[in-house]
Amino acid sequence: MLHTGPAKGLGREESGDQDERRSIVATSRSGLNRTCFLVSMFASTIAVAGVVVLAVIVASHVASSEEHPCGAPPGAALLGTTNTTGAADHNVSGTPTPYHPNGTASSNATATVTAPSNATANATSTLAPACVLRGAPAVVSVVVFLDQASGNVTAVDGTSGDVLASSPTNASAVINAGISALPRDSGGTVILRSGVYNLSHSIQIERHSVEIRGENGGGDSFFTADAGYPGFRNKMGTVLVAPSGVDAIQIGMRSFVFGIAVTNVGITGLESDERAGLPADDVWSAGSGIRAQRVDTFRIEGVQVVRKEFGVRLGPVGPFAYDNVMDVVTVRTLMVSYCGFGLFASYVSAAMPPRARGMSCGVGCASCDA
Amino acid sequence: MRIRGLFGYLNQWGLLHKSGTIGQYDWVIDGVTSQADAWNAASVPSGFQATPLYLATAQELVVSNVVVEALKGSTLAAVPLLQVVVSRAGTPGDEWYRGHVLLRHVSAFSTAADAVRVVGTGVLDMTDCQFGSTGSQAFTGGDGRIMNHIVRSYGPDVAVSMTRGFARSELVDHQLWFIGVESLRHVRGVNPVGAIATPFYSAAQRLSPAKVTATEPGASAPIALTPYTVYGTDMIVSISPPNPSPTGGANVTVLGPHGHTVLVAAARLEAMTVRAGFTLVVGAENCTAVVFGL
Repeated sequence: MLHTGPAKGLGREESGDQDERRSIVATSRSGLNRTCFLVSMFASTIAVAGVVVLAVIVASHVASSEEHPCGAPPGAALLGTTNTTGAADHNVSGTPTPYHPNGTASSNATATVTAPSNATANATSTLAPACVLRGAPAVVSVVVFLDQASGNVTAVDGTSGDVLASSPTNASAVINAGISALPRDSGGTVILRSGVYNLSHSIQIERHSVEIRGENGGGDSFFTADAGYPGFRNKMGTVLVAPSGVDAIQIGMRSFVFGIAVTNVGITGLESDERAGLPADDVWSAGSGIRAQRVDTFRIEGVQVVRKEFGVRLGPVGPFAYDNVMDVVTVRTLMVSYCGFGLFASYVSAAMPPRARGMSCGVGCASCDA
Repeated sequence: MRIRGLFGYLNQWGLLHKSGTIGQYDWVIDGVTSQADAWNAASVPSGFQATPLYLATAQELVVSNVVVEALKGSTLAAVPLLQVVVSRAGTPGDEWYRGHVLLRHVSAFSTAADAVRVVGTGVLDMTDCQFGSTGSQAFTGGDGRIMNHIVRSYGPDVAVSMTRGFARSELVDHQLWFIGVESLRHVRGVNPVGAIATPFYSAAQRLSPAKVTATEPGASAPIALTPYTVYGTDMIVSISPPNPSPTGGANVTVLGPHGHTVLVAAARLEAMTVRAGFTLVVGAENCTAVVFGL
């Protein structure tokens, strides 16, 4: 047993590929409300070996010097960053202690990683590994899935499998709880497994380096009523259903955030099942599929939005200001249909009508559509 | 801002509305397919233009590989297929910026309005663009016609050029296909322009195959001592003095684009090629002119 950095796996590197290799089985362990990952033994061995290497490196460097090896405050915990290529079957517990550049991190890291006896640390470092690791991205994941049996939407720690939140009705709260579980400074990935997530309010991203990653891009929204297509929301894929007045995903509405990504999700404003009959072409619900107000280094990829007032809306409300500029934004493979505006990138002056301003819908204003 | 791979279908007011003030420094947009977008212009929020692609820029904007087909069912769109806003200086609450726009490899069809509308003060260069259809069908088999102007520039001082590609409007008067365009070269369906019945625009002081504004009528002959700068295409110009001829004949002067003298006090011009950017001044009243655009 080794002692090292952040607990509950929140500080450990966990690539999306790893997560995707896992199969998730939501189980209830005598009311303990735990979720387990099932992984292959092969992948486990590789991954755990990597963790062991990291743990040895970090432990030796942190323990052997009073000064943080990279200049951080003494005792500051390092975000674990491994190069694991497989999945791990491990048990992590403790209190998250992400490294804070401003020196506010506590030193009470008590995470434990259990490794099998045959895990071998087969690498020795002649570098200053802790410094190298400090600069590496701290990818942390949360997995959100829809339990077909119970109907619950559940968010679990992508490393430990600990349940972060679960609800039969409030997918928004569950997903937001998953985002909130990510380290505030270093962020991570929230993986939304295939399924239809009915949102009652917006998914909100107000911290840096958060990726919302779905599966299968939500299907093909062109031919929702085609007999050969079972309907947008019913295809395999991650679909967010945002009713009128709700932006499915809001980004930087309260603070300026960086390093955000939304990938492989479908978003619809239509609450009913298209198979019941294709609505008229002018049917959409107020609000945006993605609403980003103050964000930079932002990526949208593999996203489809159907039947929202704005498919993707970028820009602040109010007079132009240079700190509202979105420069480093990339959009790749965005499909928008049956919306008002598809991709809408504009500041909106106060003189424009409420609907155009968008302040009235979905952001807590009571005068929707006034 | 980088956009690659944008697909739109039946978005009521448009697929892309790009303000000049969001990520205003430069945008690169590559790979856009728009079908039946901006079909419901009647419901667009006040202050916005319904159009499949609304492109405003403060500085640089490069747009390439775009297909816009605005047909919804069998109904042509009632909006411009592209609206370009360059360096527009507006009223309070409006936008104020300047920029350059490049449109490359654009195919746009199916509207009862204009294919491209331009406003502002800046530069718009279009290369390898196709607007309209030789027949009544677009690539989807529907009505691909452009019923109004191919390009209509509202200015006040935007330099618009179109090089290579294809254009066809259903307007009978070919001089109405392009409004306020500075250069038209190698555009099939347009070049060579051929005989231009009313190429002299005295208020704007232009000799042009296209109207300078939608409302200013051209004239078939020059007004004496008015400098006409050749716009749009190179011209083959013949100028004849009235009969009886005054002393010195038509008294034609041709100047280069920077004011250098090419020809002075010519009694007449016989099928002289006058390049775009050159200026022609006729000294005598009541001359007659025959002008062909290349």
